[in-house]
Amino acid sequence: MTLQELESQQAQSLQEVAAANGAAELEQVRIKYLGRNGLLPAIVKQMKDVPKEDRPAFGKQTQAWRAALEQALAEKFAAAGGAQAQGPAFDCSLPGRWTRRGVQSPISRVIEETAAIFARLGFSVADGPDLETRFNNFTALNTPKHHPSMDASDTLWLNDDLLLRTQTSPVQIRTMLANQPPVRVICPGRTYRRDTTDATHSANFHQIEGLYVDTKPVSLADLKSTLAYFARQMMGSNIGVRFRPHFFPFTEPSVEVDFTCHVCGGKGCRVCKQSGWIEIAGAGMVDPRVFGFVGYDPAKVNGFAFGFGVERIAMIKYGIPDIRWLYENDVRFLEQVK
Amino acid sequence: MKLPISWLNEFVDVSDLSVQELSDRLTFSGVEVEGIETVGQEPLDDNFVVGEVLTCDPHPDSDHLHVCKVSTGSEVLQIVCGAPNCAAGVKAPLAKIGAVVPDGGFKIKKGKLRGVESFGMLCSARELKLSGDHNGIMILPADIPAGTPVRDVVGGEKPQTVLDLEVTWNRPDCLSIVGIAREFSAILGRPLKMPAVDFEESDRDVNTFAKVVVENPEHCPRYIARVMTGVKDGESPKFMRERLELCGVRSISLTVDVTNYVMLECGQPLHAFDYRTLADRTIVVRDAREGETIRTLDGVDRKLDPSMLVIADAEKPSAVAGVMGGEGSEIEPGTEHVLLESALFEPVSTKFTAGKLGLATEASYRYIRGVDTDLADWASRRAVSLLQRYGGAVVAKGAIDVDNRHGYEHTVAIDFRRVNNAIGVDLSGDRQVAILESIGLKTVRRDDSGAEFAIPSWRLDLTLEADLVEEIARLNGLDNIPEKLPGVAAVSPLSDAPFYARKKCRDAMLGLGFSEAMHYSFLSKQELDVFDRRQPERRVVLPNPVSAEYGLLRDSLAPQLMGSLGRNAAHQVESAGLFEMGRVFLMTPKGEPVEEEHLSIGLMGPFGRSAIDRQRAVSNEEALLWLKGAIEALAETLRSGRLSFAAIEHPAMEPGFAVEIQLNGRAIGFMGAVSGKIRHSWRMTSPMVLAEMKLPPLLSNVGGKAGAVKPPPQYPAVRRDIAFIADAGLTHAEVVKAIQKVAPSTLTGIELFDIFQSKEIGKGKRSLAYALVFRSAERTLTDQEVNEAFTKIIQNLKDVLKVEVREG
Repeated sequence: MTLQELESQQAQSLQEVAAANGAAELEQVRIKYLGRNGLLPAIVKQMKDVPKEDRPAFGKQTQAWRAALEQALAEKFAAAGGAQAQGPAFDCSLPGRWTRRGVQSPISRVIEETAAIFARLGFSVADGPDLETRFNNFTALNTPKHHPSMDASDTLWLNDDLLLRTQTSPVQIRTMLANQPPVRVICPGRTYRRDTTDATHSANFHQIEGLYVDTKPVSLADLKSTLAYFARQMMGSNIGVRFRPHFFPFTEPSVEVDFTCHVCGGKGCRVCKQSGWIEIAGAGMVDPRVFGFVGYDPAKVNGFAFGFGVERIAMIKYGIPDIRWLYENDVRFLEQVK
Repeated sequence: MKLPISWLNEFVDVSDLSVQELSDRLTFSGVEVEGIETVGQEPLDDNFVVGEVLTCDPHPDSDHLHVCKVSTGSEVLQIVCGAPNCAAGVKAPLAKIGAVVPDGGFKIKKGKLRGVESFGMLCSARELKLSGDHNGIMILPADIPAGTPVRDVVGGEKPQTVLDLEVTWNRPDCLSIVGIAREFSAILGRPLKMPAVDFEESDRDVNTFAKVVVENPEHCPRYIARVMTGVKDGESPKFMRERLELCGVRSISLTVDVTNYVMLECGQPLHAFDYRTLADRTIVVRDAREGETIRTLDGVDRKLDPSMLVIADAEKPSAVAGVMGGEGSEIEPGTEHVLLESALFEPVSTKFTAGKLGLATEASYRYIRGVDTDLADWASRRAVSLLQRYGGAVVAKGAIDVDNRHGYEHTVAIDFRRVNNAIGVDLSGDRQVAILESIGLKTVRRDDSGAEFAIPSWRLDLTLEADLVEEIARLNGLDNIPEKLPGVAAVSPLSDAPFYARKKCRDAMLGLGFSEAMHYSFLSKQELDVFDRRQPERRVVLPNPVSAEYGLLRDSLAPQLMGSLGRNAAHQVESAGLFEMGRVFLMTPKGEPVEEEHLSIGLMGPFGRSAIDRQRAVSNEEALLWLKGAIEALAETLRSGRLSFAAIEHPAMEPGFAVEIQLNGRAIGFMGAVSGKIRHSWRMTSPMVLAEMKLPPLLSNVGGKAGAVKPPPQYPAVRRDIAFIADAGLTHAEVVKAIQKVAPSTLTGIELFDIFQSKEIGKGKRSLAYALVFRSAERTLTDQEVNEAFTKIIQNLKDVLKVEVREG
């Protein structure tokens, strides 16, 4: 091959670029000349046959050809793209095409958010079965043996010993039976009561139980601040907590926990019945008798426990007026809870 | 419990506290006020005064209105009035400007009636809600001076405010007016005023009237009987009837009312027997005998058994102890001779007796929670004193008091520092002691570090230091507890991997576009039967369900998911994908209920397709393949293992569209396309497909060790496409197997990219097109070797599967 031939081939290739119509034809030209088996690589391979004295000129010419061709191709490719853009404009108002992400149940969402908040305070998540024993659900939680909560009118018993748990508190018992202090867990799960379903009651619902037991002193003040942290993370930075005395068999002292009404910020409104507070949780210091049931030494350990309803938080947080909506799975409802 | 504030005020002075203050104080001492009701009408305020009509002239521009000058005693107002009986000289209620008229609740303003100004309104009786009379203004007696507040002239008594209290299980001492008064006495530091219980006794000894034998002292630690004769059992005094009514108790007659009144007052249930009906004049507190019956006061004949304690006479049961009296010994109107029982019954046996009989009474309610162990005598005296005062009872001398109480007196010690540690405050020992003494505890020992207290008979719930911590915390004020996050960082050493494995699964499903469903754990038999009635023996039937609709525990998640998709379809939702992670309940062959975690997934309509591609009808096959794809994607994300699928039969599924899902060769669930018959109940024409799997096997590798990654391929791939026509019965799996059988190790991908049936290729045939991808990790493959391998594969497909390869 001579230099002239090289030049004429270069001219030929540039003409082909100029004549090419559209990106596909350009690509064919590119493959013909620059592809792995294309003309230019072949010429480079043949360079060893060129007389030594001609090689520099040959090399130079080949490089110039490659540069010119690549530039021409690049320009033409860009123009080809540009030409397309001059067609009908992209209608950016057309609906996008993608499978939408599904919507999470508000119930599991509250559970996961709660787990994340308490994880920052060093709590892990513990689990227990829905079918519980009398011992775990009542006896070890220091329920007096004639307490009405054990009646068949309140509790769904499967037989004399087995029941659908009425609270997530038995997971406390399971956790303490299986571990030595310190224990720091939250226990989300489904619970059952013999309630007739209406806008605010459901025969099954979800609770989250929390438990912190340690050999170091743990106080009501620790409990209050832990729940205050949760309240602010879950419901907003302006939310405070207050305690009211109450009774639960498994805590002593026992308190009911109110959060600042998220609607009015504590000023008083219809939602909080003008009180500025909304009842959220039950809590207290673990009753020493409970420690006795799980084999802890009541003289050496102390701790707090709390529990609240998941549906209640979800209804408050997302403004859901009827608990039944959470179980109807109407996608027209679910898709709004984002 | 109902608490009339006027009654409370008799025992502790709370007259200076507003209802709201009282309510808040109670709530923050641990007795929640659930409601506040006002009984009776609010008295009229100062805007309603007696007005004297001085002059009454016709309105210049009306034939029925009058223009009056009305004196309020201090001023004279011009009032326009339309009442026919309005005349000079009469006195009538005048609503001044600012008054809110009770009937209708509107406010009186300065107004103009047909051009004449009016500065108030003369009212009818109906407008004041005093009666229904609206024929004219209410004419008041002439001797009442103008300006007198109307409320002093007419209108009911002062309205009564009643608090509705929720008393917690541990505080039976608060189930009485005195009990609440005691709380206020402690909170406010004011004295508790107890009523007098003295009365005159006759000369005749009570023991000459009656005999009491307690055969079961364990269930009846104390029994006091007093006998009265000559009780005039008429109507009770007005205050008593009103208070009973405010507390929701119907007035019957003096004797019965007194027993109820004293119970509400102090918390001690009492029972009055008609003395003359008691055989042998004897009271025997004993276990019921097998086969014994009693007709209780509610008129029901009840079977008794030896686990129940009864109050009997010499022959037969007269009352169920602590629960309800018997008709035979009931106080009738006119009963003169009364034996009054004031007893202590043990809570647990009372609970089980009441439970067995299905009876819940005010008495049993109190006994079950625990009555003050030292109250029986006081209450008995109190009742007797009232019966003497209002019924002229002649009281036998003394009381029969069978007292077997023991073990109630006890002390509890506290350590001041531990109390402070538990609450998170710093209270002095003096303060702690003062708080506990304010609620009736007596200090029996005290030093620098702690103290010991005798517990009063009405607070037997206080048995441990923790109980006293609660008293100190609440009476010191829970609002005074500071907030501080636990100072020492404590990190839970326990694993919560299972929770996060489930979260990973949930996230994967959401990412695949499915929304999360939640269903009840209960359902009806019908709901399960529609889906699958093949194994009814494994269902868990609830012995005592909430309702028949919730009669069973679900043994599968799919029926409810199917229902939810169907209902959505009935609501014109075109396509939807749902999943649920939940627990199912199964009966083992041994009859033990067990639970399992399952995952259900379902979709309907053109789910997965973009909106613009939804007109084309969806086939069962397409829908099921979307579902299968979702399951495969999930299993990949969770690194669950190798999935395989095999045809099965399922009663709820379209024939041929039910598939068993296997993971690593083990069945974990099923999927399928719901039969048209079932879908028809929601008028669904578009397919619905469902899957249900056990969750734990899918999650078994989550959080496990990750496999080492390989470098991405360095060398180019070579693709060869093949299309052929085959019998429609030839499966994809068979094709893949035939290709793999003769393929070199460099065949790295077999991808089905087209499949269709058409008239051209004939019935019972379908066209399949595969892309085969060859690639080596070590080198660039040559055309020649790829072509050789490809030819061999084609030949094998032709020879073994008898396919007709489409050229070109």
